[in-house]
Amino acid sequence: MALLVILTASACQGPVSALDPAGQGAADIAWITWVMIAGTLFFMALMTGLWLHAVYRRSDRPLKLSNTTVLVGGGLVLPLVVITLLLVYGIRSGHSMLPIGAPDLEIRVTAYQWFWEFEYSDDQGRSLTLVDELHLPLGQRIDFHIDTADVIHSFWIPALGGKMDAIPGRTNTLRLVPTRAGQFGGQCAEFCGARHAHMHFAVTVHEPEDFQRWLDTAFEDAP
Amino acid sequence: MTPAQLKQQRQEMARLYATPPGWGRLAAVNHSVIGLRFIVLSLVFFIIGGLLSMLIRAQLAIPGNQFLDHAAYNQIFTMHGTVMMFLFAIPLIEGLALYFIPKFLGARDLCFPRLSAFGFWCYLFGGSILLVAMFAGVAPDSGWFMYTPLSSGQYSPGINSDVWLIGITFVEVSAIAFAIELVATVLKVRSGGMSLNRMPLWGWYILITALMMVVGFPPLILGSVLLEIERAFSWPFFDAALGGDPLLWQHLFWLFGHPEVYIIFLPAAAAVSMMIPTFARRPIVGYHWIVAAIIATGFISFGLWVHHMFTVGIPHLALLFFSAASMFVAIPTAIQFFAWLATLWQGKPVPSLPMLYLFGFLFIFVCGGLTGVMLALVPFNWQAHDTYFVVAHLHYVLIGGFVFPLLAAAHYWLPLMSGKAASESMGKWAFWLIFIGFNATFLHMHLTGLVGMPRRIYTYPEGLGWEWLNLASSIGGFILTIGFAAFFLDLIVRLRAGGDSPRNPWAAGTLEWSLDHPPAPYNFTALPELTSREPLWDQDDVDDQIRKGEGYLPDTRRGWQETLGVHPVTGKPDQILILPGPSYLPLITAALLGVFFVGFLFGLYWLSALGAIAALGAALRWAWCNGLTRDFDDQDAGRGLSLPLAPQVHDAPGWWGMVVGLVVNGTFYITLLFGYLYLWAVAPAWPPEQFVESGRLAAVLAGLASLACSGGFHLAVRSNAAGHSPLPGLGLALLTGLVASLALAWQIAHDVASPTSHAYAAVTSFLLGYLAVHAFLSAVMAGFAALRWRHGYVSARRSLDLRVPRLWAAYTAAVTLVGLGLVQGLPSLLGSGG
Amino acid sequence: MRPGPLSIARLLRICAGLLIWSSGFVMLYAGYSLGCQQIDVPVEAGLRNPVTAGLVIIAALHVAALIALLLRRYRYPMTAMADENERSRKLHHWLEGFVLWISLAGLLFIAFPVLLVPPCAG
Ligand code: HEM
Ligand SMILES: [Cu+2]
Ligand SMILES: [Cu+2]
Repeated sequence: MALLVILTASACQGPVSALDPAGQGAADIAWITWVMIAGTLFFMALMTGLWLHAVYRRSDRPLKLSNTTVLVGGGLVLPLVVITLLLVYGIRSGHSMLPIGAPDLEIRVTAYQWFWEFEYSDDQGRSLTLVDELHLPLGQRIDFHIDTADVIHSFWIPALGGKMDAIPGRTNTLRLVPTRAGQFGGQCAEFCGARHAHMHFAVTVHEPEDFQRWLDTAFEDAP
Repeated sequence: MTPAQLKQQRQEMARLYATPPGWGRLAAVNHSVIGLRFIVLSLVFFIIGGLLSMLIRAQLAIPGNQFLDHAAYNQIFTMHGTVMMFLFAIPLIEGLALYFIPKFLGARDLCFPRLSAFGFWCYLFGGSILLVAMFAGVAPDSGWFMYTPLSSGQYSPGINSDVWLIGITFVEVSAIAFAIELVATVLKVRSGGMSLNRMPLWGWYILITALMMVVGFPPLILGSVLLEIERAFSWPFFDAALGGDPLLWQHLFWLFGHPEVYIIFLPAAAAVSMMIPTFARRPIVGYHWIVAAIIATGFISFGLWVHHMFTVGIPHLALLFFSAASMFVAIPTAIQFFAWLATLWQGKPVPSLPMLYLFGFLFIFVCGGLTGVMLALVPFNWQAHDTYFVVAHLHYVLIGGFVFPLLAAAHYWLPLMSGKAASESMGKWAFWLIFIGFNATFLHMHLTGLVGMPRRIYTYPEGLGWEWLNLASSIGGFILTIGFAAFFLDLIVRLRAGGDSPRNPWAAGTLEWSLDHPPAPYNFTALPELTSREPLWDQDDVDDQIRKGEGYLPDTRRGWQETLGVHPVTGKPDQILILPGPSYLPLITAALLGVFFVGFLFGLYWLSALGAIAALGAALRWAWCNGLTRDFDDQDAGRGLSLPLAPQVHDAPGWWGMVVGLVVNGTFYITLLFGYLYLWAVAPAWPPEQFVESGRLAAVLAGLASLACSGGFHLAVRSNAAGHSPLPGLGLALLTGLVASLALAWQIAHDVASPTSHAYAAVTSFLLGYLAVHAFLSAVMAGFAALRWRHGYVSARRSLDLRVPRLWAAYTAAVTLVGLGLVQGLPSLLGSGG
Repeated sequence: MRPGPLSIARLLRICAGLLIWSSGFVMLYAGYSLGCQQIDVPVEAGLRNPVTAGLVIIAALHVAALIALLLRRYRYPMTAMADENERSRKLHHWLEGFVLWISLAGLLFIAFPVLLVPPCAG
């Protein structure tokens, strides 16, 4: 049992794991994921147990539980309570991940078949375009403005938070807040044709000062 | 009747209902034959889909595998999903319903046997298009939901996507035929005394499922038609640069796609609701509750579709409506589960092989349902969407909620269907292999998704922590396959070499178990009067009624294939249906329709046009066969009852068929209007350069003419009822129908900009074209009705030939007025657009 | 006698609650989409804004309709059709009520998020 736990725990680690969060959104979601997994296991055990009891119970006599109790309790009250709690939590948590309030950094993301372009710019009119390589500052609110040059793609850095599709004709905005420095992976999550499987990109989260230093040199080097 | 008389009676019936041998089999229309064909063909597709999944699992077993390249893999996973959803799951439930519904409801056949034969041929031909393409290496490769613009002409220039759009639309024709057939049958064609409240739950489930298909499939068909037109003629419905919107496709697809999941699940739940009472040895607990739950599911499942689109950038509150509805739909499902549990608690359950499979269903489906609730939570969905978590979830739902109940059902009903006795041991082995194999494939696949593996990738690198998860899934997949092989082997052995089954081996209470094992082609020698929901438990006389000819319609004295029509609610017999015999017309019509589709596939539009005209001709020829050429008095229906023949009553099945057909059509139309308004409201790149030009005159003319056409039919019905000739009315309808279609065609040609220029022009042209076709068909129907009248098919008492097209014309007038109002009014109302 | 339309009326009556639920769902979704598109609602406005108000009114109207139908149902039980057995009438009467209650719960359930988040954010 302990082995299993260790095994699962180590299995959750990884540069692209949503269960090994390094961002605010991802951490929130990872937490509710574990809660929901626990709930799922509980209800599975409950339903399986009830079924096994109903079919294989020893006594032939009907259970002393009125049918209405069973139907109202199990069919209405139980699920209604659970989903209400879940929905309220989901609303709050989802709302907190929206791009509300000014960001600290904005990055334009353009998806192509089959690579990513990331464009940084600053108020002095300097700009910089990277391909399949993303650098982010720790602890800052970063808005990604995502669109596509061809088909639908989806921008996803599992360790930092949820994904957002790149849809022709629109620009979608995704807010991420990294909370741990390090190397992570991102990838295209919407099937986009032949080389969809290879549409990865590398993400590096720097300490804020390191990031500023990196950005300045990168602007200098940019053509 | 003496035993000798009875025997002779049964022989005559067998002769009357027989399917001709040899080539004549192609003319078969009997519901048992057609139902079995559906079932067998869908199982063939299941095997194909299963083999494809083995290729997928083989490729993904290790990182960086060279076994398949992306071109092959993309075709394989697309075909796997497409085959499993459209060619296995839906047709299998159709086959089961076609086969069983008359047996459950106490009828000799469905009300439109030829329509189901037609559906079978459409399914076969449409499925063949996909298979041929797969073996030719040009199978669809954009995923089973075919998102544009990946599937559009620019990014998928090959024939692959056309194969999907055309093949699947062809198969959907059969789904629509099925839906119309089943709604009309469940409402009208039952045995005497089977009021709605005495209907076995399966009847309710199928009624709601069929109604969901009526409303659910038109969006998909509309989407496919629009996308195919975009690909073939460059009308930019989904092209963002020209005022279209790729998200429109997603809305249309999932507006179909989510209800589809319930369309697959409900009939499986129906089978569960039939089996549990038998093994609990008591009637179901909470029949009322289950009926309410089915109805609620039917509605609510249409409010969930955006949960497939949580990451496309729709504002948060909009997502919450769908998130809430997606969670709420858990309630009707929970009601069903607790009703089943309560039934088992109240009864004396007997463990048996089907019950073992039902345990598998419970375990797996509950898990799938719970992960479904997880996915309905918006933030979680942002992470899990489009990962292997979803793949795991959907297989838990589909295999748990659909395959397992049907495996149970196979063991349960096989004695009835084949006359062979049930066996235990091999079935148990197969169960454990399938159960363990399934969980070994998919349980940890949830984790695979959460640690970051997106779905639909043909390969993955090392070092991301996905290796052993995938390897384990692949091993599990092969155990699962061995399990399925064992299951089918067991079935085949039993069909070949099993002993004969006793009658009603499980001591069940529902009507189908009173039939011969296997049932005769006419099912019932005589149709019983029912006073209970479980007649075999509560009614001592049913067996006598059915077998000794004491029920309704006990003989073949008129030389017709007959069954009862009843009042939809009370179940009181109100007419005698005359069923049509074998015919090649369904096959011919479907084949000609195939010419239309194949012509389109290869861009041979002249061939397509010829095919369409020929198919219309064949359909009219087919319609010609129905009806009577003289008035009949009420006929003896047995048990002292005299009933009119169906062509002479008001609500004959044909009338219901037209009503349901118009609901299908109306849903198509409403979806089209939704698309029209949607593009106005949210598509990028609006407004277009030019809105509809003037054209008021043609519009007014078209509107008035369509009203007059409807009025013409009304007149015809009135004068016919009064014993006069309907010809003046029909003449008016014919003329005005033509005028309306010409005026609309003129508008398309003159008042709308070229449809390739902007999505606005494209969707407006499409809308007007839809109206023009309807007006034209009204005219055709008027001419047809006049011919029918000339040949004596119509009289004051036999007015169906006038009343059915009257419904069509009234519908046409209504949609024309609404459509023209929008087309003409919207530009001036909203001016520059949204 | 025209049993066709009559039975359709009966079937529709059983579904009345869910029909209203569907209407509520569609109107909330459509009203919201159009509202946020036509009117500029800043997030800071919180819940005091025309879109939220409109949605609350839509939801309230539908809830009122459901309550009215429920009252009517309890006041006037469904009458039997010709030849209908009593259990059938009872079933349909029961269904009408149960479906109305479910729809009421369902409507409140999908509508209450309106009161939790500012409408046009994100
Ligand atoms: C026989 C055992 C089965 C196995 C091992 C299996 C395996 C898989 C795998 C690995 C995928 C993911 C492919 C990818 O994303 O690249 C997949 C997709 C899918 N499967 Fe299955 N499957 C099985 C049975 C079924 C059944 C019975 C159904 C439906 C009734 C089904 C419906 C689907 C669908 C709809 C998809 C999505 C396809 C897409 O992404 O376009 N599968 N299956
Ligand atoms: Cu991509
Ligand atoms: Cu769904």
